[in-house]
Amino acid sequence: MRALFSAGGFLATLYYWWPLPAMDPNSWPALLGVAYGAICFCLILLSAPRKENRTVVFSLLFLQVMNAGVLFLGDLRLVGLCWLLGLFPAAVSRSGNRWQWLARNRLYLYYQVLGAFSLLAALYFLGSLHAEWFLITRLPLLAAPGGSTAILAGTCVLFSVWVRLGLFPFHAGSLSLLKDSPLPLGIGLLTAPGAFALFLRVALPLCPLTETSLTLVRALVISSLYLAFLGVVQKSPRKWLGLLYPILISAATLGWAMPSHLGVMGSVYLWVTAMLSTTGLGIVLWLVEERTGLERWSEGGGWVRVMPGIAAFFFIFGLSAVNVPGTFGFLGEDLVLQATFATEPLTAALSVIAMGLLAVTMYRGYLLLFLGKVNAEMPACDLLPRERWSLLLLLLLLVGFGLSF
Amino acid sequence: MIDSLAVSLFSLVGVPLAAFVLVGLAAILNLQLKESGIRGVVSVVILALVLSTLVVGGEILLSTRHLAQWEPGHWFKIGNYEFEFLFRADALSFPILVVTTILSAASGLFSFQYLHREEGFSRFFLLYLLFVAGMNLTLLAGTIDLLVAGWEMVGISSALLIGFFHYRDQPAQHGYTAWIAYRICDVALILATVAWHQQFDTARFDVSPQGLPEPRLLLAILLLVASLAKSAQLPLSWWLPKAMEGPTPSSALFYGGLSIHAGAYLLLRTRVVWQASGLVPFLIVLIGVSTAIYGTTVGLARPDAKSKLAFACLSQVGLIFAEIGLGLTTLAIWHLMGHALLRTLQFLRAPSLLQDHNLFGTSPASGPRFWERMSPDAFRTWIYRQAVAGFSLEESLRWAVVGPVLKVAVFFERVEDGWLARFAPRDESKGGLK
Repeated sequence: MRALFSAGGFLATLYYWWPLPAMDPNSWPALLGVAYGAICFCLILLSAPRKENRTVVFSLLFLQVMNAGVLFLGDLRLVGLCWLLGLFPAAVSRSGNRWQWLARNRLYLYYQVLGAFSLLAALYFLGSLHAEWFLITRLPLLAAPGGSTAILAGTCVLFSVWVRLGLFPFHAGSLSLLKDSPLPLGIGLLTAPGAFALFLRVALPLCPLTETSLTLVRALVISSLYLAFLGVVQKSPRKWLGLLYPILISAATLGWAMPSHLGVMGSVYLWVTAMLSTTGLGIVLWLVEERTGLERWSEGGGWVRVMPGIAAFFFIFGLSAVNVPGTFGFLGEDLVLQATFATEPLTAALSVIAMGLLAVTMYRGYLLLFLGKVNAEMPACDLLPRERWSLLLLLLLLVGFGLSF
Repeated sequence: MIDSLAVSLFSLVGVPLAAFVLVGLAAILNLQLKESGIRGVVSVVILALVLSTLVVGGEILLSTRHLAQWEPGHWFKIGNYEFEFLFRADALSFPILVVTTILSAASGLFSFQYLHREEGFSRFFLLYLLFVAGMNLTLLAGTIDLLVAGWEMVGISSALLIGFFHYRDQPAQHGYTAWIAYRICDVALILATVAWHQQFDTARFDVSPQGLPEPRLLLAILLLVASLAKSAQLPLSWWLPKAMEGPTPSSALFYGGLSIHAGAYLLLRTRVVWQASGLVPFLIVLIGVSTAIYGTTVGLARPDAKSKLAFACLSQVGLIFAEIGLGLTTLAIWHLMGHALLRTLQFLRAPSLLQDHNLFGTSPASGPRFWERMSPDAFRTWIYRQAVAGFSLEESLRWAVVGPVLKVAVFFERVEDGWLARFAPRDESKGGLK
């Protein structure tokens, strides 16, 4: 059964890869699809021999289908349905008693219910505008005569995306979920693959850039500084990983609010970087957890001697998360900052400082886990070939995208 | 027909980078490369560097503009914005490139013996190759975008080499310290890059000083901050003595020879931007002279050879900064080259200091200096106390910067945990929230 599930998973991920040979840097759905396909491929490859295989593979396949719906469907009602159903894997990720899980993660559930209602409200507002409101291609046409109603609907969609992504202040919900779920599934959920599509296909045409969206982005960037500060004193690797994602996405959102192709493309590139590098880091931490039962950074120390491959991948994915040259993120950061600096120099500067702090926290994690004196002796337990190749695939995408565009 | 200049300029960056990828990929795939294999790869790289430098030098001599330039196109282009590839060796970068090639070759060859059978032999050369590629890219960059790429490569390799002996706590901690300093300068340089684009509508360094729009002060200050941290000038000098934990060849190459001068090179390369503003040249001179005094004084009270050399380095780079600030560009370039060569030699000889003493009868310690004999006892005691404590520079930074940052972070964490605890009460059996 496990083998059957895994085989199905691999086959299902392959269809995401069809645009790869003719990849156009301006084609964001193709780019997101390839990146998400790669993530699922790696996670399934890693989960195949494990107990939780069925849950993980099923959830990832389900998420893939929902993601494809949000990326490519032309009917807004179906897009909304796919988006809402994308929450379902969170429910199967629970460990132990279902009610206990609900109690532990009720903050996450409150937030998601809020996000779902927000999307339903958007659909309701749009429904009042025109008979063919549900055709995505018609959304820009609704915006002009719809006026404030269309803007309200767009804002509701934006709010729903915000909540699902766990951006400030909704990151707290994701943190509790990440603590509780099998890490690969937590990563899959955190990447919230359809969010960018929902934003670009629905929210942006309805709600053109205004001073309000700029204010939101400013707030988001300031909040990313707050989260970066939190990262400096984090004791738990999982929680650090949960903070990493909103910080990276906040940097990406800076490009959203800029009225230029440069900003939007930079934003897509940063988004893809966030997905790939967070997944890479998540997998690495998961492998360390499996081998050592790690719960706190301080339990580590000197492990580079027994797991040099894992340490190397941790550092490399950490570097790619902070957008070093040669990776896709460097390109994205460059574009976003070029688009932003002219009108929002302070916001751009804060975003760069947040990334600087993130780099410091990344090195701190590397130091605490892998460098220094050995805290506890253990036998060599470096990467298995399957693990090595799946991490290498993510790395090749991060570097390959970065060099080929 | 093959363009020898293009091949040479490309080789200076491309060959070490390709070797880095080769050795790195082997490490990631868990293929154990033998010492002889790594030596072979590094020897080929050194040979390519020497030949390429000679070709580029010949091209510059033959050129009427004393310039060798290669524009292979752009990396990416979106709309009107493009990331240009432009390699350029001119009267500023070529002399330093020659020094880089000599020192890289010398350190590489020296390390073959010095690190023979060392556990991290391949790791050292992996980072060495990254550093050489980064340094050459920094020097040959014709645009500020390319310079940032090289600059960050130098920073990453430097921090990791400081923590080379990772099984001890102190080198690992000191690598982290250097990483923090490098991130400060990287943040400043990234912002300077964007500001450069905005002001000049190009990333090229060859902007005309006449056509510069005002104001340039912000850009000039960002460039200054970037160069201060990289060259360990005050108040960002705290990390340099700690950086001596790395293996001797890397200390020689990074903190005696090349990396430490990258900040000075940045200022020289971008002088067209900051020279016209009255404040920044003054600040450069002030910081340079202060660092020189600080380095000399603290260096006098250091008990070990490598720390002494580190502080001597600070003093000399401080003087180079002062020369740059005063507009003595040619002097600064000659000073930089001479200092890099001498200091690398001193660093490489440092482990043999006692042996030299026994062999040649030289004395590593000298008698009291003239000013020591002439100054009052109370002053001399006070200045030595301050020097031993490093003028409390690190403690002051800890008090003024690190302490407040940590306090804010801890406060934020309390707020966050308080909020989470309302919804997810601490479950002791699961180990709580953290």
